[in-house]
Amino acid sequence: MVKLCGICENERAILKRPKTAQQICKTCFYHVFETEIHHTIIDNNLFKRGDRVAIAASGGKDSTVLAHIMKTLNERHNYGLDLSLLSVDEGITGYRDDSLETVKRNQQQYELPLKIVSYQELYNWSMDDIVKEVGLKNNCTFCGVFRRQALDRGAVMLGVDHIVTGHNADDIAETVLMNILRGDVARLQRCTEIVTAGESMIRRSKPFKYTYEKEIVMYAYFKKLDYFSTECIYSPNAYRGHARIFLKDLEAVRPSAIIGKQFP
Amino acid sequence: MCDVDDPVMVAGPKPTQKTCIKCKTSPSVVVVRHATYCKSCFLFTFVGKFRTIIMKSKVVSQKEGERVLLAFSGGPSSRAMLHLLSDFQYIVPHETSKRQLFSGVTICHIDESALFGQEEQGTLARIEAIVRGQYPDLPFVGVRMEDVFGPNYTDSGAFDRVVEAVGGPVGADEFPIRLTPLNAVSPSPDLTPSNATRLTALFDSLTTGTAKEDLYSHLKLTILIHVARREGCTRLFLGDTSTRLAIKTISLTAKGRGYSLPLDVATEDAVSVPGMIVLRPMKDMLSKEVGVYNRFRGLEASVVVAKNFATGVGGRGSIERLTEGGFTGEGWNGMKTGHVQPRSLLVTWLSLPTAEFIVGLDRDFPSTVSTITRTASKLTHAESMNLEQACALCLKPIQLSTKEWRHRITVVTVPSSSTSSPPRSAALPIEPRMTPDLTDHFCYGCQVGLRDMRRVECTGAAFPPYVAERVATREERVEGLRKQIEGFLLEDEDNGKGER
Repeated sequence: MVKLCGICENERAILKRPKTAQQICKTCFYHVFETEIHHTIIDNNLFKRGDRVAIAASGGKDSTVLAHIMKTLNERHNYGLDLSLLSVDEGITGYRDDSLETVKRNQQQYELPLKIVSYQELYNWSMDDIVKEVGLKNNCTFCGVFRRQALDRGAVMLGVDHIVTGHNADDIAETVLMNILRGDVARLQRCTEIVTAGESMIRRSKPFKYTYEKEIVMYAYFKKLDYFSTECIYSPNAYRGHARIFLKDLEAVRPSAIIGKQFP
Repeated sequence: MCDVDDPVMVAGPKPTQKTCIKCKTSPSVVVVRHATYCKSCFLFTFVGKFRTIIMKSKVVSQKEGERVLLAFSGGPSSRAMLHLLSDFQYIVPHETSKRQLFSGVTICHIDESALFGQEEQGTLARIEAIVRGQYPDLPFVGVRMEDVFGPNYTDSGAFDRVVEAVGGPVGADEFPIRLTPLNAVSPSPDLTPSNATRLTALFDSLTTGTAKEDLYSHLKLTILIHVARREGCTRLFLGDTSTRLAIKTISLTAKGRGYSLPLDVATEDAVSVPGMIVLRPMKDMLSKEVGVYNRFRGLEASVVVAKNFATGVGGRGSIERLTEGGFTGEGWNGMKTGHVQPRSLLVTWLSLPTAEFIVGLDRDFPSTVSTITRTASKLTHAESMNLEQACALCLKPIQLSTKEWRHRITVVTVPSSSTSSPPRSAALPIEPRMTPDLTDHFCYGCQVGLRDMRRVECTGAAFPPYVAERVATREERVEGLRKQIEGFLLEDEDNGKGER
């Protein structure tokens, strides 16, 4: 017998939803996935009509799905936003140059303007140069600080009011955990906020705050979105790795753990 | 509470420094984090930590008559705590002008053996013999966990309704509980199940280790608070060690209990239980230090490691298990029988393939536990917290509108006719409710836990009457308010209530 979708009871269920363990069909999955993000945007008053919004695009799954969702919801619910893509070129040969190709393809598929800012032109240092200088230890710290500023400067060049990033629930839960482990109470307080304003007064927000990483992958998979999926060649941070593995284990024990961490 | 699963590591790595860092004369015998101590300096520091916490807190009052209830599981931490407290209370006979710190200390032990069925021997008799033998002056109260189903655990003393699960399994969004008369639960009315059977049925109806563990700690705390009130105690001492609190901090956060977390891991909590101060005087000691203290004081023989229901469950059994690290029953049975030497026990733990998190991290980064505990102690509860709005199950404050929040970020329905109803209606129930909605009487953490419960038809399980009483009292208050303004309400405005 064919298992029917737990929501519409009409079509065949083809996936088990990571967040709720419901077995549902593709159409219902798209509906709940998109509606939850719409709710997050509406309930937190992320945008005003007429806002110019830049989507921080790396070419990875999160930002590709974000670009797709923002465009879809903007049209469906008539947010009246002026969207564009903003990418940062860290100058990592064999990683960023390839992923930027994906972003360029996305630009054409979604018909959005694209701006690329590079470390080379902003700071006269590419990540390749930095790694040559400082080695593989702590290079992520440079990159993180540079990227934050690069996004702000890119946003100013584009003349936008708002940047949206693809941080998902897993990322935020991981950060919460990290801040508890490091004893950073001040950051712990700030890290779950959905909107933050940097020095440049450009708002940053995370529409995927309550969206599970797995569901983003599912969405990209079913929608056959074109994204780039290689880890950065300059390796992820070790201590965060502990937290990440632990979090995945937690999710296996109880999926709501990811959302639970964000419950303020 | 002093759980038995605190990792106790008696044998430490070889000290790098030969002399004690405190007195700088005696050779060192123990390493705590990065510091090496000789025996007498270690004991001095350890006792000092305990006394500082008590003296800095508000538990010692100027006026006479504060009684302490000491939660005593028999495990390493509570054993050490009992020793420390009775020493602190002791006054040398010639110091006649001195007054005892507390007017009395009552020891309370909860026997949990009912959770493991018939074959498991109760701990009550053993613990009572130990305590009465070594501390004949201190009153001892022994209760069984299943007693929580008794009528005297309710405020009225005779409450005859229970809360049971009626909803569907995981994923169903309707909150699955209802209030029913007590006897309706048992399959045949003339055969009333014993409290022990009810307790086991309740735990069996929970499908996940995490939910069981949660319930277990709520019941224990409820019993302790109840006993403390009955015995006229205004102070409750729990034996949570630093290691334990670090584990709790992370696991409570993951369970969605961040809202009440500051109260759950506080050194001193004077707000969450009216008329009582909860103190955790062991919170600055690592489990390892407790183990060393017990060994130095010759207390190890009287440490009783009871079976815990997480015993023998692998590292993925529940959130707390996972957070603690990979201890399996093997290690603990070895501990219990004492056949395994400390060092080899350590090796057993460390070689386990399961994910060990806190304990593992603390091994590699020895300040992990203290960082987490210090972070947690800096947290304060939200100003908007309403302590009167307490969860009926865990007695912790409830954060408001959790249900709406969850509905908004987890959509589980599609609008039946997508044109007429906007997506917002997804937050509203589609079908009219048969039973009143009791969700608001439970905190978010308990709501999540309750979704792991199987329906009552399969299990016959129900929560103890105290939960039902709290729910019912709250419901009646709302009903009373409604009655007062009844004359001014238009009929069809509140259909659901009108039909009842």
